[in-house]
Amino acid sequence: MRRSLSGRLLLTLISAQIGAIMLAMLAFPLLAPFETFNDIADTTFRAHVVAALKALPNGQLVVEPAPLLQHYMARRPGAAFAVYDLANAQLVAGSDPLLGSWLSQLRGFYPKDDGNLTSARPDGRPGTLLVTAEASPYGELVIATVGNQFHAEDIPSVMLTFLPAILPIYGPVILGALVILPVIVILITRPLRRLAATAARISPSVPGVRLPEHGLAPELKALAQSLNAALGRIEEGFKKQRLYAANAAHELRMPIAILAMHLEDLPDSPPKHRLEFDLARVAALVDQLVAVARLGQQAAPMNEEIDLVSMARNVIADRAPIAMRNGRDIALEADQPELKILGNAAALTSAVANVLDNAIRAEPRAGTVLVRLSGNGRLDIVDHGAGIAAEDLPMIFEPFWRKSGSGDGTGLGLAIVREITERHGIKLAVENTSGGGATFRFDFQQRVLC
Amino acid sequence: MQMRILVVEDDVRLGGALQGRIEHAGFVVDVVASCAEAYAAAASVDFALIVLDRRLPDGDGLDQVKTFRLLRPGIRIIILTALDKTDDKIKGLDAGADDYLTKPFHADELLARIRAALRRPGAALQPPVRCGNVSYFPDSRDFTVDDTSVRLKRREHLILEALMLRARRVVQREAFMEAIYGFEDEVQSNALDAQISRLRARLAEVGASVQIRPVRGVGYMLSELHAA
Repeated sequence: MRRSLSGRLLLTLISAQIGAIMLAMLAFPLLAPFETFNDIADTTFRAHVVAALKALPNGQLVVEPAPLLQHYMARRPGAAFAVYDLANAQLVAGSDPLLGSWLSQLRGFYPKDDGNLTSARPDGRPGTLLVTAEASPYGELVIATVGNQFHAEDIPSVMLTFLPAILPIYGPVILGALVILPVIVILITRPLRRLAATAARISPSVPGVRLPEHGLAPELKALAQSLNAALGRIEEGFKKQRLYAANAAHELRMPIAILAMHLEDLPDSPPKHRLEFDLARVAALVDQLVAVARLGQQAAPMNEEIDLVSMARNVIADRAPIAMRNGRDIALEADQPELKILGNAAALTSAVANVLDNAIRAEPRAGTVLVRLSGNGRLDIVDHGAGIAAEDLPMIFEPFWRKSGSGDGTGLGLAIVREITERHGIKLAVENTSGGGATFRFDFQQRVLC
Repeated sequence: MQMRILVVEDDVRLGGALQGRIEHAGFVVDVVASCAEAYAAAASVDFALIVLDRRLPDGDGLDQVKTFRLLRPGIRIIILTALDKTDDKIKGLDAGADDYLTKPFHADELLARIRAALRRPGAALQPPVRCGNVSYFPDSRDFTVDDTSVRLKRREHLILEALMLRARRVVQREAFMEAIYGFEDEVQSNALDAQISRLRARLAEVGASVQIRPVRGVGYMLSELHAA
């Protein structure tokens, strides 16, 4: 997943800040009171020397040849050190003799409070002599070093040396960056989030929603304007397509009606009944297409008063003759004489009809499809066929889905049913009928007229 | 004499299909495809009823309604149209049509409306409705089984009448209630089922080859016995 724009902006800005500060920090030592960069290693050297200190039983100090110290000096051939013990006012054993005698002459005159004193080397060779006062577990010491060389292992020393000096200056800057930058980024991206919230409401069923263009920065305003123009064009095309679908579906009705009439003229026979049954399905599907296409037009009334009981009766009465000729019965069980709901009558009727058609097709011969209507606006259509496999359940409302291995149906019916129910805010659920088969459940509760 | 019906429809296939269906119901049918032909036909033949399409190549069928009425004062007119807006229906009925049917329609519905239009006073004789070996004569409201007249009790008669007029289609309980009991008295809901079972017994007794099948919770349907 890609990081958010704000996140990237923040990350870039903060890394840039920290990078700049680091550079400044690195530059700082270079401008510090050293003659050469090599002298930075002095800190490491002194740490090794202090670590190698040891107190003798008589209270005198001695620098022992500790491995780290030896290693340091071995890598720097010209290196030498001397330690002067202020408490005992004497040179510590293990100090370089020449450096030691130089340091001893210095008695009473040494840098205080971590200060450094630099001088030319007493032996006349090139390089710097560094003198530093240092508090150690063994008391106040003055340490002199020469022949320092900077190696990779001295980097921590650089940090330790300069961080205390730099942090008070750059710390607040870093802290400020961490707090102020996010606030700025959030403020700058607020219009973007507002655009996103508006865009989330854009849908074919809610035409006319546009992104707000006022109060935007010029860059965003240009984006919003061109998106709005694109939306307008898409909506126009969508409208045309709807109209085309509505007209096409409507035109299909007549040939279907003619076909039905020709069919009725044929003598009664099982193939004729099957043809009638299939043709009735096609007719129902075309009706649905017309109904859905009309729903898409803004004029479609969504608050017609519909009596669910008589709607169910009419749908069943329409289908019963063909179903009965094909050996299936349909029954209605309603627990009250009428139940008024609000919605688009044509669309809801065709939705219920489509599910009923499916149920009739699924019902085994000599079976009865049950349409059950209960007072709280629940309409169940129950068949006793093969049911719906669990793996098919999430798919059945997708356009052009068909039960694998079944050659019939257009695969559009249930997708249209779902579109109709969604537009009405009606819940539609499928479960298996106990004892086999499928039960489709329309929940009209939201639309029941009290 | 059989009644003649004129179908004015420019869609040749629909016209042909309508002719077949209406003739099947016992009428004589002529089909023409334009206002001009319809006028010529109506001027020479005494049609009992005209089925008139609105969109015709030489004009709106609706404009011809007045002409037909002048030509044949007692004629019945049923308008067919693909325009299913309520405004259009009102306009059609105001123009003097007896009924209005929106395309596409079920052929049975058209036949039912033809019969209804012809039932009104002043109409000529109507052909019988048949189902199996049972015939119903709308004008005399008599039944025959294999051409033998059958007499039924009043309520059984009304039930069979409702069933025959919508043979092979479902007649809803409410329709029975209105036809049989009117609006006068409170009716027990199982009274209808009792009447139906008496009617079944009576039909079996006279050897009628029809059956009355229940559609539970909805109504009943009359069909030929052999159609399973």
